[in-house]
Amino acid sequence: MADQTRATISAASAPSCAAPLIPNLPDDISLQILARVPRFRHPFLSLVSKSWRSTVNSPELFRTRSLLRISHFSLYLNLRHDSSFYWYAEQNPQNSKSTVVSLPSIPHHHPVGSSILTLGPKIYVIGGSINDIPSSNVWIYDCRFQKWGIGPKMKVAREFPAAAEWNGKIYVLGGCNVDNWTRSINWAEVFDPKTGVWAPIPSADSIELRHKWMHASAIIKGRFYAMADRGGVVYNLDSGEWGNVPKRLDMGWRGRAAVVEDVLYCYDYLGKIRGYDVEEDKWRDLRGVEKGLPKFLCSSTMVNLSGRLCVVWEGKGNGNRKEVDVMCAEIEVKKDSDGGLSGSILRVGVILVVPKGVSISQCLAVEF
Amino acid sequence: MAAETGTPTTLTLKSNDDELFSVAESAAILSVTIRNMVEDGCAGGVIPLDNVDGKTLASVITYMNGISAIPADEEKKKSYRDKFLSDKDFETLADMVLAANYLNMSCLMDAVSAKIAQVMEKKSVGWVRRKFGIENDYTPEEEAAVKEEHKWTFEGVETDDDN
Repeated sequence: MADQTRATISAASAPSCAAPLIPNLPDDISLQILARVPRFRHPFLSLVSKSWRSTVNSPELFRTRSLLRISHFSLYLNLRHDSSFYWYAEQNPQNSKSTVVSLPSIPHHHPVGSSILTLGPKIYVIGGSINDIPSSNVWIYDCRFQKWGIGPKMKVAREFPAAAEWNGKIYVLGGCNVDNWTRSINWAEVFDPKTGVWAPIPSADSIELRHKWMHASAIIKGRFYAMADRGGVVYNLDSGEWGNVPKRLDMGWRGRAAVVEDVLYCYDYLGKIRGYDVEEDKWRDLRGVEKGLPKFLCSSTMVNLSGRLCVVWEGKGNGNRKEVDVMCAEIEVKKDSDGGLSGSILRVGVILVVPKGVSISQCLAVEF
Repeated sequence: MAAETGTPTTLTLKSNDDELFSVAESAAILSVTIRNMVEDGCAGGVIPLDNVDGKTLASVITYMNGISAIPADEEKKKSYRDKFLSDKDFETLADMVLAANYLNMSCLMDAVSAKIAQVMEKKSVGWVRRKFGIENDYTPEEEAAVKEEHKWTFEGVETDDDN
């Protein structure tokens, strides 16, 4: 339905592109102006006229925004109910009524145990299994146009791989059996979106964890940390060397973590947000946030949202047993002079109410 | 040029409504258009600026003088620009963006575009159409369809069209 409407409008607007966007202004200046309007206002710009609408949706506008370095980060949520996954996005920080909107789902079965990450305006859903069969598929959601598409397949099928973005490329490892030559040489792969090609990353047979599922991953200071149920592996993205994860990091890392200013934060499930400093090999409690947050953050997950620590968890649902509140806190974190970590809460509140049984799978920061 | 004689060189600029303005060459060459004329040796007499009216040119010259008096300190320059644009109404800004484009002054161009975007951000669709003189070429059905596509965005947002 929506697609039909879209087609009708764009077909009708095609011949009228001769009219300037703004009377008396060259279109390149108008583009400069429109590009500087915050993204959440773009739908309003679309309503002004047909030529404004096609400009707002054009690659030129996004290119201009990137060049001007004014693109910004928004929070996206992946929620799970049984084996179904749902996507939501926080749209407009100024909108008092509805902050979070529902997005389309992957047009086929949403894989379970995929690794999900963002690269600029796109969300990548990598591997995972469908009906217990691991997949090599990569689904890509373009947040600008709200459309799912399928990307180039990995060389091997994976479930519960570790994946992360570094310098515009996607690194994926693990989550596959290494029982044949192809899988063994492709245990770790790198994807370059510019060429659309997956290439193997050399890894040694001696890495003990090659047969394991990966449960968490992060990049800290150019090193890709991938964690199995016990132990983990580190890949140096500059030198290509492999190593072991420090024992303290392994012992303290729980659930999904976020890296803000080279410190890895996670929730210890006992009521504390803690940060790990790689150089010092030390965990520290995040101070100054106890009063502003509930005692326990149920099913918490976190992400770096424009340099701030954004924590999302399940709240009590206002006494209503049929519903769950999805809560969110945005925290500014800093290193104190004594080496400790402290945070100040910039906002905290309910961003979405969902039926009981729905759980938070992941939160992501999308930039465009 | 100025450095050779020891006295600052002054240029005379003429607006398209025949107003004359004197401005120090060191400030005027913030405009790449004027700088090119000076370098080509065509700035001896009066420099005609056919696309800028007197009111706008006066504003631009105030900006040229103000910003060139600030030493190389990006923070201070930025706060000067913010202050300079803070009291300008929408029509003035639209004239200035055109002038900045014609005069090829990228710093002013950037600042004015950002300011216009900032003003537009808080306004309704109707306001934007009126101010820019844009004709609504949607049929009511098409407009409803575009609204429907981004339904959530149009709920609960307030605009301040009065100022």
